Amino acid sequence: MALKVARNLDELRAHAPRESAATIGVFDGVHRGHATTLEALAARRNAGAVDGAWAITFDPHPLAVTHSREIPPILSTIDERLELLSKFSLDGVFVLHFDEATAKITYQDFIQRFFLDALDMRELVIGYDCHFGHRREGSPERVAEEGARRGFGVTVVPPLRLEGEVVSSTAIRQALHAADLERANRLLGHPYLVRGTVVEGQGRGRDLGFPTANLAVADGQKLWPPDGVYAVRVGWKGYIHEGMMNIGRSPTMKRMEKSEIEVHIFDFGHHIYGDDVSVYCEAYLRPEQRFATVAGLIEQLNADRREARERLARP
Amino acid sequence: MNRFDNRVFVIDKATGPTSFEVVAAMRRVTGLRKVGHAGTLDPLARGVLLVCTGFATRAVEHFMDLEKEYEFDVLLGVETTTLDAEGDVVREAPVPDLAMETLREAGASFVGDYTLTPPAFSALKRRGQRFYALARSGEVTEAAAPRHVKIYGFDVLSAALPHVRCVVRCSRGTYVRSLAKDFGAKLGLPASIAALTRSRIGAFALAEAFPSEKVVPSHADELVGRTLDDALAFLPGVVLSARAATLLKFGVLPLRQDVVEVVGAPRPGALRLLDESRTLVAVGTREGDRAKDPLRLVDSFRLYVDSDADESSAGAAPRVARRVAE
Repeated sequence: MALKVARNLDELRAHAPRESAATIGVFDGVHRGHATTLEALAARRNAGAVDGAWAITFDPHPLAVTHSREIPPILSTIDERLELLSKFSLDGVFVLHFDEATAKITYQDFIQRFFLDALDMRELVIGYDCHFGHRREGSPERVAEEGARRGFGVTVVPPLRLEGEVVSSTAIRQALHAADLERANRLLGHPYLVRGTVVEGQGRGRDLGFPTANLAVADGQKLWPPDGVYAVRVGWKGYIHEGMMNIGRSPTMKRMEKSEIEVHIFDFGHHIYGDDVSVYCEAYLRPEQRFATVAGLIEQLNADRREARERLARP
Repeated sequence: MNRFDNRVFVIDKATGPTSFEVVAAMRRVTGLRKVGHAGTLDPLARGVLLVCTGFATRAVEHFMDLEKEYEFDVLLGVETTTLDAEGDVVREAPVPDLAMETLREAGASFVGDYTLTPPAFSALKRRGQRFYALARSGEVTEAAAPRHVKIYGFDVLSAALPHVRCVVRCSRGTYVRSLAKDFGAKLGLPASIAALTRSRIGAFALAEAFPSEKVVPSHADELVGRTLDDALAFLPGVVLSARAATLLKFGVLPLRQDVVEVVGAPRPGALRLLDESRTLVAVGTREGDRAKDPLRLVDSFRLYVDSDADESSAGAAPRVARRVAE
């Protein structure tokens, strides 16, 4: 089932959702905590209680609008979120453009305009910490009262605890920052995803026998995994390839000012400049290091490739 | 933005008001609700009282841990119920003509680790009531548990017997009244305190303190607080990479590899966590075993970033101290 994506109310009306169950959230990272809500939503539709399951999400991040200051480094851009949301059994996602006007809509008006009028919502499934509407006044309690008054059901999904900790984007940022990719991926429920566009690099990798795709990540708020070498799976035009990724300043070859992302895809000969690729970070192999000789670097890259293949072969 | 918010005020509390009354006066003058002090000074004592507002109230612990200096007059030959001039006389004895050298030696003998019994008339609480309130109401109180403190210096400045003027530098938790009584005991005499002034908390000295009598609306213009950055400058600090500093603001613990620069001499305990512009983001503390987790810079931290940051955010980091499990 292809996920319907609506980026404004007209597009949403074109899909004409009827008798739907809905959820709402930023869903940054689309982690396992979000998954419990999304699965509960799909379960309502699967049980025949409603005809469709829709999620409302925001772009840009509401914090970017309500705060002139900093916003948290995000785990997933809107494209990444849509890619991750497509793995749930939802009918559609409404990407609500978030601006200052959106921020001022009261939760009561929000319910009327988006949930009731646009989605014909019969049931709302929300996470325990979900707040929406002006000043985040639409808490689960208030929304439940509104549901009782207007005749839609409200299900509040409790927090998910894993390894003694509530699954949260903060916990995932912490694990990523500490290069504990295993833990981050466990909390996410999927390998950390980095989407980008392949841009022309300096071709140094090709000279070494390890041609790389240099990745441009458009969203400056995207949290990159720490510098280092990773075993990855790369999604390109619907196919999944195995590979390895280097994030860093290439201290042996280039000595960049800022970190870059380079992906070497195993057994791959296509020209992919300008294409978007999805890089799933499966395992962290080692920190970035500087080699005294190019031969030393090549030797290490061969070892990295062996290790990456081995890690990717694990169930 | 209230110019009094998120500040540390060095106040010279007069004899008479309670520390809380000074806080109440600060609330009226600043119009702020979140106001607190870092270490009670008994009503009868005068001197430096640190008053914090806004998110600076979360930093009081660091100020309370600072070394303190007191100047005090010991009245030899008289012990009272409260160990000061307010109490009823318990014991009296004639004071012989003591040589300055004898007094100095008695004072110097306190330097080092010291165990003292807090006086009945202290700001400590027993079953929710201040010991001094209980003592004042005439209720007999058992003494609070003895405590271990450090005396860094004890000098006798002058003597006009039976009065002896002393200055002591000591750790948190030192009761100067008890010290005065013990000073008398070294000389074989009952003793109490005639006057007590806290002259310094860390580097916050009486000379720069704002008189508590002037904590009134008509003097509000003269009241200036220090930023928390400035007030906590005595703690060692580390400058973090831009990435780590940003993540820290959203609840992510920084690691040792995130340190770009060390500011001040590193020592155990609290550590200022600064961003690349050297602005205070948080104060971290290290509790665990370093060998067990060599990557870890601190085990917990408390954020000191502008307070409206997460009021209306969806999914922002909590502002309170976070501790990572395990």
